[in-house]
Amino acid sequence: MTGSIRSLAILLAALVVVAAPALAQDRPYNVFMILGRGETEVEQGFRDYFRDKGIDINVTVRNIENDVRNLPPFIEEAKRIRPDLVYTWGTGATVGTVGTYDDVDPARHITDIPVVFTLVTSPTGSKVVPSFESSGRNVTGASHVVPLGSQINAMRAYRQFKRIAVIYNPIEKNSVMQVEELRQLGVDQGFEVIERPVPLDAAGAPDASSLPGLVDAVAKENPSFLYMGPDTFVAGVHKDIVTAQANHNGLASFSATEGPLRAGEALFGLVTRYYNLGRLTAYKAEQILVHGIDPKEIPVQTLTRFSYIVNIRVANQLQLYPPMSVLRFAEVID
Amino acid sequence: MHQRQQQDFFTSTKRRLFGFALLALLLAQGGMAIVAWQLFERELLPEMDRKAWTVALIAQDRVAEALALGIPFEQLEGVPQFFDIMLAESPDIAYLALTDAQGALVFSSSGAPRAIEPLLRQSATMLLDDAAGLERVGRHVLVRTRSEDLSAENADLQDASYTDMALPIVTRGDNATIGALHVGVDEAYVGRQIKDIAFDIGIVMLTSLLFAFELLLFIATFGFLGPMRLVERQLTCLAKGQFGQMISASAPSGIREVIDSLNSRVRKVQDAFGRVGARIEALPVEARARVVAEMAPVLERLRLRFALDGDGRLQELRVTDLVDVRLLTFLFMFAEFLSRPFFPIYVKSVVSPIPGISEAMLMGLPITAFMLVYAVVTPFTGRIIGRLGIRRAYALGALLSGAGLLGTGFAFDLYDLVLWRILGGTGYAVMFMACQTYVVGNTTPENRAQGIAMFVGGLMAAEICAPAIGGILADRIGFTWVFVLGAAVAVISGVMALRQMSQDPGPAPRQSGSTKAPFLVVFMSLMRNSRFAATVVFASVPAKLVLTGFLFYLAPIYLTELGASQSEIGRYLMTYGIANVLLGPFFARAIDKAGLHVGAVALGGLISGGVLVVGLSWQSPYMVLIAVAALGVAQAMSIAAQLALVTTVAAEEAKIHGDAAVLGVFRLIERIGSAAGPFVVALFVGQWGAGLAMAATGALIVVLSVAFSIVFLVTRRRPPMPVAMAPLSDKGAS
Repeated sequence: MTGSIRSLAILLAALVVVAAPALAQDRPYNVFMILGRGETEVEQGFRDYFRDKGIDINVTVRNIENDVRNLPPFIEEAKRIRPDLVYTWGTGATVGTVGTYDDVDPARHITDIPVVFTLVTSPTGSKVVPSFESSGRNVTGASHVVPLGSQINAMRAYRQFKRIAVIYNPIEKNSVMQVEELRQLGVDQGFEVIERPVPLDAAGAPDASSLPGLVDAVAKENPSFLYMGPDTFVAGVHKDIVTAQANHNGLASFSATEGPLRAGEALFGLVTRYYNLGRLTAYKAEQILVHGIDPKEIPVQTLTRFSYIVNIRVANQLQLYPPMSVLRFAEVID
Repeated sequence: MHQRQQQDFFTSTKRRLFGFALLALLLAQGGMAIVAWQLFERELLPEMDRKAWTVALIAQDRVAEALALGIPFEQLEGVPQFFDIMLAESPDIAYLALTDAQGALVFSSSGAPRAIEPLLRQSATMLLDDAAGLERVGRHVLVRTRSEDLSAENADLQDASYTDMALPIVTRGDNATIGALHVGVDEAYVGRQIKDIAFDIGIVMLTSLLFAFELLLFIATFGFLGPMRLVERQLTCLAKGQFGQMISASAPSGIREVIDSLNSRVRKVQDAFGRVGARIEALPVEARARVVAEMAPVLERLRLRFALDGDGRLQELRVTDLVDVRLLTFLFMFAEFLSRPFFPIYVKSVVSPIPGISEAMLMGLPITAFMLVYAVVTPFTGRIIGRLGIRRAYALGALLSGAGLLGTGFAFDLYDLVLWRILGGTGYAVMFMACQTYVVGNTTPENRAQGIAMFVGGLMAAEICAPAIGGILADRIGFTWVFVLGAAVAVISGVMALRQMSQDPGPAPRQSGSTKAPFLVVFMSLMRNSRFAATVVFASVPAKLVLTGFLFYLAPIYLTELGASQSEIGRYLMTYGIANVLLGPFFARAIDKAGLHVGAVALGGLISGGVLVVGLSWQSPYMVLIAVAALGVAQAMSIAAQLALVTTVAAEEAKIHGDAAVLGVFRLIERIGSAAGPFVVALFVGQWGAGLAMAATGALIVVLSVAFSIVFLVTRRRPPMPVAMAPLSDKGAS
């Protein structure tokens, strides 16, 4: 009930936007971005949204270079310059900036400046928010993950399968949760899931050197596809090694995120377009900046339209061509 | 002689009027049909060709795109499935196929017949040779090959009629033709479409002619010919010096004045005669005695000679054609029969599944509810009609029926649907009995048969055209709106009844010899009569069972399963009415004349059962069509004979309890059979599916007919009695 009232409020707010696009704006809004590895298409979408709306924003960009240990100075800086909005990219930067909802420390985290996050695989699993309806605090954002059921359907559209493999980082909470969900779907729909966690080294960190051997071992069990979920370690940092090694074994990879498709060697995938995700994130930011809506009144969302991407170069290499029916809606990349 | 000529004048005027009116209508409709036909040919056939061409271009484009991505021709993936998706909405296209550079088949849609390969090779070869004379559409080259042209060499192609439309598949780089895409236009489909449209046009013509006929008959009789005939009769009487009658009829203004003026003259004469009587009464006693003594014989002679009556009690002349009851019967049955070709299918689309009850059973339930209510309510309609009068009872029935149909059209689920059907069944029963009572009340035993013929005429006209037009409309405007139309027709008939039916002729005369024995006593005494019991249980109940179970329930379901459209189903069901109308009177006369009632009942049962059993060997819509027509013949043969047979075999009981009581028992049991029909057949469908259920129903009827025959053979020693004319025949109505 309160949820629907809130969505109504948001809808009304959205209508106001349409009715009065240029509200009085005496200075550009200051947005402080904390990114993982520099600007991506997400930020392009974010910036374009504001440009299309004729709203001036003044963006400060900081990169943590994929290491959350680089985060504290940026948080300090943000607290000092007090931007209108803090924008965080990825699960790591987001959790580091706002903390989990059950462990917030105003000394370490930003609490009194609105934060909009993006590209967080599982906002609830990583405890950024207790539910999609509301963060209960000064935070909202957008997630990019495609529902697992849709991903399975996307795989089936390419070829029917009885067995798939998944390699994941056991210390990434969202990856573990995704694998559990995949296992359950396998039981429900009658397919087998070969699960392989990446071994940990002495320091307790996943061991990248084990990846090629892991892929080789998995390929020997003859799965139809290697499933690459939204796993930062496997599908993010080491996407090229994993996909190339899979192709080497004649094993096609399916990806739930755009990276392994564009920057790696994955065959196909069902993904949220980063650019569109950026625009969705910008819409949330606009509600806070322009319309003054409290972030905890703005639900966390994922996109509902996804892109089916096929890498035709990989298809040629694997001699595993997309069916005619998939070609009707797929985006074919080279 | 004079009278005779007058009659001829009216009859011939009526004939000519009808002849001209219907001829004009027929010509106009024929013209319309031709125009519609030309439009169809001009617009639709090229449209079909364009559609095939569009499908070809899209498929060619998709294949070319896939090839451009570098996918090798032979390794194209999921082509049959892709073709199937493209063809899902195109029943007029028989196949899509791809051939390679040698003209050999590589991929085809899953439904493609194997026989087409030579056809494909022929087109592909012509295309690859790039003969100079190839057809061009814009920048596209195409080849058309007709299967008939190849059928001489290929036996497989003899039954086929495809036009193969072939387009080249060209690589984008070097423009080499590496194969061909084929679209097979199913010429037989086009033929079927043409036939369907022709049938639809024919049925619309027939229906509107029947409608026009019913309305013309009604308007001509009540608006003109009837009143004129009364005027003529009145003038004839007056010319003979008979003043004892007045015209009581509504008429259009011109005739109205004539009638009023004639009536007032009659009234004047009657009043004058009355005044003479009054004057005499007013005289002093002795004077009156003298006048009476002198004048009484004279006055009495005058009174008799000129049909004078001092009290002013006059005979009323009214239009007694009963055409009104014919139209009303036609309308309320038309409203109800419209949904016949699709009713079970509609039920299926409305109800949600109930665990433990088969879908087949759910589909039959609303029909059973309707029939059951009809059977149960009918005995009580007498009381309703007695209290409200015929007109208002009919109007009430029409209102109930209209509400029932409207509710049916917008039903949410099984429960409210059954409720609406109960309402409809009540209304139907009331209207049915109101019409019958009206006929009985407005006829004498001598001309009752004519009155019944009017009633049956309306029934049969509805039986013929309502299912057919209902099917056509369902295909075009959807089920719900057909129900709305039915409701409107029912309500209109109610309004007409209020406006048109003449004042109630008084309570319906009870039929002869009604000593009021309790129903159960009559029932038990009749059931002890083995021949009566056999007729009812082994012949009448099965006849009704097959009517509702097969014609109303199974045939629409089975035909839908066999792929027939609503229009087709309506056409098929119409043959029942046609067979009945064409053969019914013939059989009735022939059987009566030969006294072969037992044989007719047995044979009718065997035919209707046998043809359903045979249906097992040939699962085709045409088989169902044959079964429906045969059922029409069999019922025409059996039903009138049953009624005659019942009155004969139960003659003893009728003497004790009266005809009405015997017939009441007969009708009630028979109607229980109607209600049981869909239920019994649904049991079969749930068990074995529609095809086998048809055969099982047939087998059941055959067995019961044999049992009927055995009973009559065993009890043969009773001498056959002359068969009395049936008092009321509501044959075909259920």
